[in-house]
Amino acid sequence: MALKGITQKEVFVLDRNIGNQDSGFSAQNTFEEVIKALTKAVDKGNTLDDIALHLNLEATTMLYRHIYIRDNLDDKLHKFVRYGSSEEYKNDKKGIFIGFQMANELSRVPKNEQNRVYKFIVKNKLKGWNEIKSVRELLERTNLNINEIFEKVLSESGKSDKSYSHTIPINLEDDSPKLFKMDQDSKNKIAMKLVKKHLKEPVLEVNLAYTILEIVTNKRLKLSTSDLIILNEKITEEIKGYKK
Amino acid sequence: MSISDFEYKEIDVERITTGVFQVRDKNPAKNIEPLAAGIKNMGLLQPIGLAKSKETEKSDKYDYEILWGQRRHLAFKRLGEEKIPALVLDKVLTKPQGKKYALQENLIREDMSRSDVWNTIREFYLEFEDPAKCADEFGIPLPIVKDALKANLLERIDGGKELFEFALSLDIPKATAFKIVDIVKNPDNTSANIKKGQSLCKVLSTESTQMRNKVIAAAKRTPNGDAKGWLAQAKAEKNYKKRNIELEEVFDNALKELADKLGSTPENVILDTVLELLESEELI
Repeated sequence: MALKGITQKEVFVLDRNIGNQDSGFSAQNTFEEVIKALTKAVDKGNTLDDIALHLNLEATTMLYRHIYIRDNLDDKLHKFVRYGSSEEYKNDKKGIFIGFQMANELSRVPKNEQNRVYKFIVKNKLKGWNEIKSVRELLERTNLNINEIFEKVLSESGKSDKSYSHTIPINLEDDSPKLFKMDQDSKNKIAMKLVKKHLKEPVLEVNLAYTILEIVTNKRLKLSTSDLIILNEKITEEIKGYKK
Repeated sequence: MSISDFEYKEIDVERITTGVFQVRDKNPAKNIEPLAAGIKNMGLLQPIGLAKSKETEKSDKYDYEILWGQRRHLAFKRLGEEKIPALVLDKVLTKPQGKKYALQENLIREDMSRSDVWNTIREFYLEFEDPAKCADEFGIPLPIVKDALKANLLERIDGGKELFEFALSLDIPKATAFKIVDIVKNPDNTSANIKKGQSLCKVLSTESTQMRNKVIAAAKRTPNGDAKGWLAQAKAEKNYKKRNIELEEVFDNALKELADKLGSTPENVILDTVLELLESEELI
C-alpha cells in the first residue's frame, strides 16, 4: 500500500531516517527534513499505523516521538537535532548537536527552560540523555532553581568544575561499627576532623559513606601518588581506630 | 458463546498460527526456556485456546488461530512436540471477538497463577527466603517464582501496603516503591521497618531517577545502613569509570524495555546487574 499525497523522495527521507537501525544505512537527513516529510504524510490523510506499516516499523512509537518533539521542543532547537549514535554526532567540532533521544528528553522539559538546558548540556559536553532527564525530574520534584539543579547534576556526575573529589575506599561496617551506626551528619563531622589532621589543603566537604570516604576540595589535590597512598592509609587507620 | 462451546482436542502444532487475536504483543518468546523446561518436566497443565479466523479460512497452511496460550504453543514448538492439547472453538471469530477471549483468559491466568504459586511456596519461602531454592524444590521456573514473590510482597509484609502507598503519595514510581518495601523488610521476612522505609521514600522523592537507582543499589549492598547513609554512598560513587558496551539491537531493545519496566535506565540496569554479580561472587 502506497502512502497518499507524498512523493517517493519524501518516502525515502522517512525510510532512511526513522527506525533504520537494521538497514545498514546511516541516517542521511536532518530532523527538520524528516519532520517536514512526516507532517506532510499525516496532513495528506495517512495514519501513523499506515506510515509505520509502509516503513516496515514494528510500532508507531518512533513516529509519535517525532511528532512529540515537533510539537514540544522549542522550534529554535530543531536544527540541532541529529540522528545516529552519539559517537557520530560527537564528532561535530562545534559540539552543538544533540541526539534524537536527547531531543526527546529535552522536549519534555518545560518550554521556557529548554534553551537554557540545551546551552548547559552543550557547554558541559554532556552527550547522554540521562542528565537532561535528571534536570527535568529535579525541576518537577524539588524547589531548587535551574542553576542549582545544573550544579547538582554536574556534581553528581563528577563533572563539576567548582569542586574536586578525592575518594578513599573503606569498609565502614567492618572497620568501625561505631561510626557505621551514627547518623550521616555526625559521621561527616567526625570524618572532617580526621581528614583535617592529615591534609593541609582546604577541604570543602567530607562525605563518609559505607564503602567510600569522599573528600571534596575546591582545587585538585597536588599530591604525588605515594603521598596519596600514605594519606589514604593514615585516614583509614584513623577510622579503624575511632573510639569515641 | 461459552466455554461449553469449546471442545478438547489434540492439535497439530504446525497447523496453528498466531497474531490476529493476540493481546500480548511484546516479546512472547521472552524467557521461553524456563516455560519449556517446566512443560517438559510436568507436561501441559492448561490446554491452549483455539478458534478459526478469516485468515485461517483462507489459508492452506493453518487451521486455527491462538486465542490464549501463545507462549505455551511456542514452548511446544521449541520442544519439538507434534501435538498440543487445546480447547477448540469450531467457529470463525472476528478480530474483536477473538481478542475478548484472549484478554479475559490472560487476566484470569495472570492473577491465578501468581497467587497459586505463592500459596504453593509460601511456607518453604518463609523458612529459606531463597527464590532459587523454591524453584528447585517445587519445579517451578525461577522467573515465575520471582514474579509471584513480587506480586505478593505487599500482602505478606506487615505494613508493606502502607509503606507502598506512602511511596506512591510522594510520586515514587510503583517499581521503586516495591523495591523500597523489599529493602526495609525485617529479617523475619513478614514485617518491615516502616520508619526506615519512610525515610528512604523521603530521600528518594527529591532525587533524579539516576540517583534513585544508585541509592537503591547502595541500600541493597548495605542493608544495615540507613536512608541518608545510602544517599551519601550514592553521591560518593559518582566518579565511576565509564565503559562503553555495544549490544545487538534485539538485546538493546529488550534492555530498554526492562529498564522502562523497572523505572530505571539501561545503564543502571547493567550497573545493578554487574554489581549483583560481583557481590554474589564475593568480589566486592
